[in-house]
Amino acid sequence: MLSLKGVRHRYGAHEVLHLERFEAAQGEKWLVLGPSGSGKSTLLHLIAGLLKPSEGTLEAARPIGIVPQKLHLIASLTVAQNLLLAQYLAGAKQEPARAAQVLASVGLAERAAARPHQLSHGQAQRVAVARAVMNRPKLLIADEPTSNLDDAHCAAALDLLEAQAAECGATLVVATHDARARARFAHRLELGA
Amino acid sequence: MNLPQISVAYLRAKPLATALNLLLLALGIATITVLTLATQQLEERMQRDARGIDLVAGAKGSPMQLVLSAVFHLDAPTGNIALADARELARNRAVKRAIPLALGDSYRGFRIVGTNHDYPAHYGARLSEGSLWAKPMDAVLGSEAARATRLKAGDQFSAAHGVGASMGDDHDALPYRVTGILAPTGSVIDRVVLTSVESVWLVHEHLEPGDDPEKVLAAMHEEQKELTALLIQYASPLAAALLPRQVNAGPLQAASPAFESARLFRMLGVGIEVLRAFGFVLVLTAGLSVFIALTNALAERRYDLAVMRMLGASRGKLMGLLMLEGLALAAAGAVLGLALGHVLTEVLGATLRARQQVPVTGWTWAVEEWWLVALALAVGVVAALLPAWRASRAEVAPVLAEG
Repeated sequence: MLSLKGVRHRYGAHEVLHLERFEAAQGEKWLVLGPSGSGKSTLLHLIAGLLKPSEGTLEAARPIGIVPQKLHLIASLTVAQNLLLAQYLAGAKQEPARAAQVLASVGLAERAAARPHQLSHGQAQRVAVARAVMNRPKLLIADEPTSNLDDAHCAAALDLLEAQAAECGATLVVATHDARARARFAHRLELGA
Repeated sequence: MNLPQISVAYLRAKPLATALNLLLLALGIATITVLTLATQQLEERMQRDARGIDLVAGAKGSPMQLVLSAVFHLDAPTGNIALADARELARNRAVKRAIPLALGDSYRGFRIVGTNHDYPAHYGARLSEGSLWAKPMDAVLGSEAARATRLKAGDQFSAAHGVGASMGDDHDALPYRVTGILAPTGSVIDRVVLTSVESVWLVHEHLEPGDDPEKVLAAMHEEQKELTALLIQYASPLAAALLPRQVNAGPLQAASPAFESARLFRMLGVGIEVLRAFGFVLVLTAGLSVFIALTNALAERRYDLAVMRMLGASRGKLMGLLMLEGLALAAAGAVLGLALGHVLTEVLGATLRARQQVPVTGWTWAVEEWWLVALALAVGVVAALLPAWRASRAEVAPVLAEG
């Protein structure tokens, strides 16, 4: 499902990540912990294929759904269009019915025609999760999904990710420096500074 | 979702910037369209009006004025010529045909042209109503003159002295009687009132009520009978080399319609080219504006573009997206500019028609306009090329990490 062996990543001469071995099986929920600068985002970008490791081998099941830290919904498109965009850009068949079903599953069936600026932060985060699962990912990764959230919203965000990953049968990898998430994950990967 | 939808959604999300870029491009295209349509129609019209007329002979003065007044009926005549001199020239072996013209009066801005039946025959004019003039003071109206004055066969009207838009009845003692209306020809004859040369002579004799026109004509001295010009067709190509020189050596002046039209367009050409260059500058400015807009948008949209890459978009797809935005702006600007150009040309044409000037219409299509469309699209593509390439090369991870 996900396997990294001897992976190193450097920006110039500066090594930001060194991971000798990491494996996650299908359906497992992993928490990647570590302070700022420990390489959490770099690890997620490597898994997502947005970066190539300087050394080592990385195998990840596809498709991969990604929830970026700043959500980055496309402001000029509606909520439903943001979801369909994920299918279009991945070269998958566009399924408006699937978009409606996913939106309903995150509790936003009524907001399909809304623009991102018309959403609250919590709603925008749910749309970002919905977008990440549109292509029925085998691997769902989320970068700092609980930052700047109070306890209630932190729990809701993690509930949502877990529920959506479970629905897709996907492996969930969440990167955070938020200690509140620690108790919810049986599998943890701690990265040093 | 597809690339065009994403492009259009982005352009619609930035209505002010999109509208300004569109306006700039449309103004440039419209300027060039108006000039292209107007000059092309004017050239075609002048060529059509002068077709088959090799030489104009008239009073000495400006040759261009002679051609403008006698062929296109746009300027005041240079003066009159003696009938004897005109007859002598018409008998020259180098002359195949000489059509006499006697000008000086008008009706509601439409020139009254004293001539013979060769003149309507030269322009291939056919009657749509009534008959050609048979005796002095009979008049036949060109289609445009008839439409504007609403005169019909059997009506009477009085000529005004001069060729302006004056409606003064200077010659109301001797009215004209309309005997026929000509069908449209698309030439200068549509805009004139035709009569016999004798009618023009009579009108200027200031007849009293009850005077018999036939007797007045018979009593006129030969010196009183004048023409304004002769429209000449050469008998042979050799005549082109000899006749103008012969004419200019005598009391008359010879002017070539082809040469004077070309000279007129060369003179007008400077102004037309300056305006055309201005249009091109506007189009290029629009291109620069699209380039700046897309380049600035790159910074603003780097997260969107990074997310699209994150969602699986290839570099080619991102490049296509930006290129499509440039093309969409250019295509919309071209359509808007062409539409605006045609409407403005029609407005200009309506103004010219109201002044009995050379008619121009906006409801026509010039082949050159396809080049304008191509120019606009090329500007859009070139303006989008660099931003699109930069968008496709941008690294995704640093942008997402920068979040």
